[in-house]
Amino acid sequence: MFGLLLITSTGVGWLTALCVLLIIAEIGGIAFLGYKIAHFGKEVSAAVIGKWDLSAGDEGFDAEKAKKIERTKRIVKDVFVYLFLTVCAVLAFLPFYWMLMSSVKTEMEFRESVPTFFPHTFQWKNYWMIFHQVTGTRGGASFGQILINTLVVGFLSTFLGLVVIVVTAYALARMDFKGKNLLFAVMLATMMIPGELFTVTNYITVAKAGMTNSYAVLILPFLVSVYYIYLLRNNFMQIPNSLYQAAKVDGLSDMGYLIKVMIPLTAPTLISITLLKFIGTWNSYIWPRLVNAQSWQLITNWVTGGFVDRLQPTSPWGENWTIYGGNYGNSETLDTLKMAAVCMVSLPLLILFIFCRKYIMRGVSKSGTKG
Amino acid sequence: MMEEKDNVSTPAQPPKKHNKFVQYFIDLGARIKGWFAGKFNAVKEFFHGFSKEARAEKKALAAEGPQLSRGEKFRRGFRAQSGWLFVAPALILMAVFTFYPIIAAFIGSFKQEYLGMTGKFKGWGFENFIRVLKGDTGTGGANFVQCLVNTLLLTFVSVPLSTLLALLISVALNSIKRVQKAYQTIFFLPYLTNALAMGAVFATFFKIIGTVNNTETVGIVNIVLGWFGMKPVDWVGINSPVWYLGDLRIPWAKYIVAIIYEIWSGLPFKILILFSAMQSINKQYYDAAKVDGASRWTILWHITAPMIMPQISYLLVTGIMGGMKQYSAIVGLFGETMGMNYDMGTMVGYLYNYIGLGQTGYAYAGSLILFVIIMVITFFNNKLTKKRTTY
Repeated sequence: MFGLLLITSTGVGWLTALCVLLIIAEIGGIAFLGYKIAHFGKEVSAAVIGKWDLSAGDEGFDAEKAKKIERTKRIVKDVFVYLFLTVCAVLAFLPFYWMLMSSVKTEMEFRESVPTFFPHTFQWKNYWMIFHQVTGTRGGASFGQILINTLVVGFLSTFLGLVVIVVTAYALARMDFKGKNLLFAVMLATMMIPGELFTVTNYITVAKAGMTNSYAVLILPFLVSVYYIYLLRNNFMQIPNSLYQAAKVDGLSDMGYLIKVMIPLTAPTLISITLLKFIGTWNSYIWPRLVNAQSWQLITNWVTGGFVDRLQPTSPWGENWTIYGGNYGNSETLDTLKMAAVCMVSLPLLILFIFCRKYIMRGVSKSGTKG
Repeated sequence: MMEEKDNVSTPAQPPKKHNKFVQYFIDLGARIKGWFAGKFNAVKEFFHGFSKEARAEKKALAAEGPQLSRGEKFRRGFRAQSGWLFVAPALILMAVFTFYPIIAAFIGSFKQEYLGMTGKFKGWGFENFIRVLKGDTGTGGANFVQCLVNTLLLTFVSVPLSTLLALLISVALNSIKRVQKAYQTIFFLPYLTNALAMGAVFATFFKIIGTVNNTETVGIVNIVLGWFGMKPVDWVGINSPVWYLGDLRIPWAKYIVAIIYEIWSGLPFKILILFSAMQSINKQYYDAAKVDGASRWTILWHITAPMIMPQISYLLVTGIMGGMKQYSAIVGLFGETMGMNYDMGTMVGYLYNYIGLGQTGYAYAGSLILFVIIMVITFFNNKLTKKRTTY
């Protein structure tokens, strides 16, 4: 209550009200506009068709002419639809294009007052630069180190996570033990709570346990993901019980049944989980930054560090830096290097998406979250 | 009982008589011995149950009937609960990293001036919440009301706009026949992106890049605006324009950048959901409508829209939930201090700011407020979706 009072007292209440009004007006306005346009179109077409119908009585209705008008209308509509889609598609793709092109431009070309849409000179050295990172502003974490961190943490957390998830989901789906349903309900209930609530305590826990600056601290807190357990349990439940009995008759143990029957049958879901877990590691940013020093961080942390370079007459670019009006020795952020780093992080994701689209989309469209 | 007594009282050789006191201890000793012997036998049988002979025995026993030895019974009981062994790893991890933090957050938020690393605090009370809401934390950290306003504003502007645009695109996509697949691919392409990395790309669109020969060079957006005679605006940098509302800062230029970025990054998922929902609508409805002479708008309004209503509400809800927790997009756009001294801070950014400052009490209080807000949204969502899905 006092919170509400406070909020109104600082003028935020007005702002919020204004925003809500704006949104309502916005949606309402668009809907109204759409309605008007629809009606207008209807009236016009009714008028046109009506005219044709009228004239049909007088001069003999030309069916072919009506067809022609229909076709023209359709073409006009198609032109608008394709135009709209093309503009949207170009805008959607532009950031990727810009990222790719900027990453191979020279810093000088990137800073030109009229940007070039296609680089005059391709400077692949940018990539060489980010791999070797001469400037040492990154706290001693080279790209190689960061990549190794990411791969090790990614594979370990994916593999161990899968083991935990599969075993738990199997127990929840197929085994009978006291308190199973209660346990499952409690697990599901934790999904309602935003993960940020845990982070505060987890940070203190790992810091007190002296686990900071290690791989374990990046892996352990995220091994269990209740959502994937839930997903896999539902998958396991769909496998008919008769299969289990048949396997028992054939002399398979519980573990054997899990490995030889259930895992192959739920492979698509498992692949989705594997990919999403790995992508989750690839994109994780906050936790590594919080608990680990730079040399133990992951690839997304690497991107955010400014790619600053001290401008030197003997710069590895071999460019004439005086043109920037800055003094030698000044530190400047080099956007081309940053774009090269962004490419290094984004392109694997794009390629992965192109090849594993089906599995990724299956996982994400069910959960509504990425990674 | 009587029969037993008779049996005992009429043995062939009468046992030696002791007095009552000694007899009691003899009986006690016999009982203890018997108890241990019983346990020992049970353990022996339990381990015996694993051996090869036991399996044969068990088969024979099973053929005879359900007469189980004590060890076997125990083993079966143990087996029935062995599911706990399977869930144990997950349970232990969750106990440490999920259940304990929940309890700790609820307790810790009431500890005044709580410093998590040392565990020191002054007393109990609501002071953390009051100070967080007042913005009076005295640590130079982010302002909660600022962060709350930023989060709400960005979410409630970008999510409806992005859903609307996604709806338009999917309607258009659904109505064409040629090169549909190609458009689809392009629209889905930004689906998997690293929010931070792409945020950096968007920042280069908007920023003032630098100077060449003492003239400012600017990003694409400012160049395009320049064609219409507008002066370049510092959209993401330190000279970004800000309005002041009391203590509150409204960095409108940064808001615009963030909203555009969020619309862009939200589109692929939304298009995917809406488009696949439209594709799965039964074609018979459309045929029937066409027979009845319905116009395209009527079809859109009376058939397509109601059929994809669940998806739209799902997208709005997940979008708002995600928007409440946004963090990395803002960091990608405006850097790790989230604009000038957290003027673009979000609620999650607030938490991390205070974790970094070591002010655990305020971080807990902030996270609980975030939790309450999300719970309220979930509650309204459940109410709304129950109403909506019964069309």
